[in-house]
Amino acid sequence: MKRVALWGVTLLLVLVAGGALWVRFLAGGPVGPFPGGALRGEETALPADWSFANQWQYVQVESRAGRLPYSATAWFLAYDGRIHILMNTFFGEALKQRIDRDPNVRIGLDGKLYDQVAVEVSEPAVRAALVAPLVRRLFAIEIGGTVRDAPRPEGDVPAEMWVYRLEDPA
Amino acid sequence: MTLRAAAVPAFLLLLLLLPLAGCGPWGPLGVVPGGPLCCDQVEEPVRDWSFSDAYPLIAIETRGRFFRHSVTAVCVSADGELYLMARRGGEKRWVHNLMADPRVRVEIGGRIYPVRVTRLTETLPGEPVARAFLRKYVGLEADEVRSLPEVPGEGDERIEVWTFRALWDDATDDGTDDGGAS
Repeated sequence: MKRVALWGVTLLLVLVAGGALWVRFLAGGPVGPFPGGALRGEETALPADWSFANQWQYVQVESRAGRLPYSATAWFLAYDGRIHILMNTFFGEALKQRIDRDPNVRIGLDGKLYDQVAVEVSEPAVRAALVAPLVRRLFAIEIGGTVRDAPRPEGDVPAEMWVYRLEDPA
Repeated sequence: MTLRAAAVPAFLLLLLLLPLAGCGPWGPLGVVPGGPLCCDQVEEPVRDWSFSDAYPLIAIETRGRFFRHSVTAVCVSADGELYLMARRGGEKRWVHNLMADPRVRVEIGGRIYPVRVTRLTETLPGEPVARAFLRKYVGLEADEVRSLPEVPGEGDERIEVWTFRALWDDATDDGTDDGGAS
């Protein structure tokens, strides 16, 4: 029985490892919440206005900051004609670290690929203007008035939200 | 094939199928669903859930038709009460399970709490829950905050978010009833 259990566990591990390798290298992008490798799709001319993109909920973002291409699914909002991607501590830290090393990214929307440069949005006024439509769209929460960082008591969840605007490469 | 020989592939197949069906003999692993939670179950009733704010993600175990099914979920506490959120709730298996049987167990910080959940549609205490969510998961606060109705209106592109209130399941309190102290 011990031998059978060992075989079972080995089989499971092989399947899990095989699945992870497939997503990472062969799937042509992230699969749901699992990060993937280089995006596959049709390279497309950059639009002047990205407002059309709001019909989709997620964008695939590929970074080549590391040794291997890395891609992940991200929340986004087309605002003021540009794509803005939103990452937070729990769901986007790995991608953020890569973008901070190399802001050149490739995004995938509906099987089409676009090259962009990510610029962090830190101006409070712009962030506030962005946050309202973002949290409305993603979390069904409507906010108004002044938006500010919430006080974080010691030991509290270290939640942070990062917003990057995607611009056309020079 | 003898019974003993048939048992080996059957066992291997079962081992393979259980995790694929999201009901393996363990809790969820990140985004991968699991089966029954296995930690110490808390026996003392909990009335103030604000301690859950220290944990970004919790595990929730629901009762399916055949198996326990557990997933990772987000939660907030507002006015001491515990709320669970499900984006696109109608598409989630764990949400279907708890709509059929509201007895669930949540794992917060390595301990299991038996609770009963109620879906909040009309009676959502919008502002405190929305404020708590915004503070916990987005790190922001604003002058005006409110939860929007569960179902978006026509042409509204926002995601449907289902909210549940979780209350300690008194059925596990050794048969004693909450508030029944004389």
